[in-house]
Amino acid sequence: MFILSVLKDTIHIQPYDFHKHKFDALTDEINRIYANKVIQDVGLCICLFEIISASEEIVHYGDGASYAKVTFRLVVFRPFIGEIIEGTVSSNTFEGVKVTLGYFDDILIPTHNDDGWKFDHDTQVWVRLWDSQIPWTSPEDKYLYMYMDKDTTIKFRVIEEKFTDIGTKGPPPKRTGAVAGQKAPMPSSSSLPSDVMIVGNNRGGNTQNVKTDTTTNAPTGGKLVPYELIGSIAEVGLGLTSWKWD
Amino acid sequence: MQIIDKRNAMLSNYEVLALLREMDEKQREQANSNPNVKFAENLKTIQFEVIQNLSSSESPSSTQTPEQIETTLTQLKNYNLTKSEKLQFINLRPQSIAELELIIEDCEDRFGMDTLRELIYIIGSNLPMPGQVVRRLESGADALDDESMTFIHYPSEHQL
Repeated sequence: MFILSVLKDTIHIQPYDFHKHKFDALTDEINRIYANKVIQDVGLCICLFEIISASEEIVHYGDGASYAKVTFRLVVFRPFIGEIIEGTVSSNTFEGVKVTLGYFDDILIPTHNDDGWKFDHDTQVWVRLWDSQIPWTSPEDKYLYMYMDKDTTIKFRVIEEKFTDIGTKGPPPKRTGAVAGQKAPMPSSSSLPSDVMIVGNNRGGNTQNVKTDTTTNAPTGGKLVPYELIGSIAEVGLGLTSWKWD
Repeated sequence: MQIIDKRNAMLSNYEVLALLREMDEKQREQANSNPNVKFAENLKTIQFEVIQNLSSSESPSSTQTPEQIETTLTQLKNYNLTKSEKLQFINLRPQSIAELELIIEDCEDRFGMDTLRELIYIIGSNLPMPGQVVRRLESGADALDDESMTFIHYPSEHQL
């Protein structure tokens, strides 16, 4: 589930952090930038693991902050394809069953890919149909029913991962004569404000859609998430852990 | 930002939990000596959520110790398992043949039923579940009998 990734970045230390030890200042700054953020094709960053090397700090003209090139390792949440994970059912949506791990919510078990699923309209939950091994007489007994009730523990296999570049709402683009309406250049520096990496603009660049999408969380898949896992429970032993597979 | 190595190493859930707990401890110390100290909100959020998830009673990592993991790994050495399989054993603590078969790739070709039973025993005795510890150790033979029953039962399902 968790891996270590090696990254290199230029880290600013603001003057108000100068009283700290250099190591502490860098640690705090790296954690501030990366913790709980998704990096494309890397995964969800948890925290700093260790600093491998750091250069001498440089102070630029007209700026009080010091800059240091730092190579470091991050703890990253990035399950590999085929890994088995235990989570809890957070909701049942049109697309399938949503599973949460507490710190990571964007896990979907789609229910439209095979016919082993049924939607129970009374309780509004998805039901997984398992072929019953016991000889059956009435058609209802043909399957065993696994109800995806909210907050039950579920075990699934990761079968796919999706990274979506939702862009960043980083620092405002520098005034370099950009034409109005032109797509803002993606900031490549790491000086991202702490809360922006997740909020993004639409793929088509339609800013109108962003507001509605992020607020309504429509079941039709309007919400864009930077990192999504697709799971499957179509194997013996997967599914709700309350089931005794023996 | 420059990505040098995406997958440098894998960490077990226990290692992550230990790291975060250590960090939590440090922050608490700092807060004690200086009540005005502030920590990044995003760090606190993810730290709290991961610790909560990994130390919940359902998570095997909540009761593991470094010694347990070490002995498990040394005992699993001779079984020709891949790194990720061993990692998942530790993270998930499989307790039945069905769970093992999920984690191990090409399980039926690579391991016989006796080996799987041995694996279950190694995992069960080295990474005990609180509450289940005594029962497993006292009636180890019974547990193995149960599993052999499921084994007899299992292939017949395939033939159907």
